[in-house]
Amino acid sequence: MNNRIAELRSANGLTQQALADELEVSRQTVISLEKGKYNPSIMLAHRIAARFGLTIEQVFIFEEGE
Amino acid sequence: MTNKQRIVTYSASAAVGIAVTVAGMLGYADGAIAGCGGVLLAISALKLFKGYRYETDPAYAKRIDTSNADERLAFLATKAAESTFQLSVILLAVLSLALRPLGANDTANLLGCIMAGQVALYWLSYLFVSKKY
Repeated sequence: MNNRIAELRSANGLTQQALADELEVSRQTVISLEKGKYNPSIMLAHRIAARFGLTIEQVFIFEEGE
Repeated sequence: MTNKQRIVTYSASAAVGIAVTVAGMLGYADGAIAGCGGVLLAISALKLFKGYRYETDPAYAKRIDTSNADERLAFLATKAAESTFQLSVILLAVLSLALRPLGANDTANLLGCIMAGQVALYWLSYLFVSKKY
């Protein structure tokens, strides 16, 4: 599953650590999320989307077959 | 368990560790038991240090809280436990089969029983978890 976290984070002038602090996760988790290596739970996906004032579908790109 | 409760618990286990170690040094306990007391004391001291640091260092406390709440770390721990279980069952099965032609039938039987026990525990856990969720 692809996502726009890195793009949205940069656009909001946030470092990975700052975003991690706001989401209450480790910086490694933000890195994994940005690389698409880790798919978040619905709760974390909601927190991420809410942080950027968007819906989950606007941040995470679901593709057929996933 | 709160951090203060952890400090009390590890203080008690450190006291037990000291008592067992001293008993061993004075000849009241076996050397192996005294060694276990030493290990208990060392682990308790390390945990107490961490507990004290958690109380006095807010940055460390925040880092610990974050890592405890981080869902990816919980996911990694689950994945690691899953791999460990699979590998241990495969290893036990291979050893159980490999030891038989070498004549170590008792050991092979024991390893086979442990493997079967692990698989049985897995199914019991599966049944329990499927009812819970």
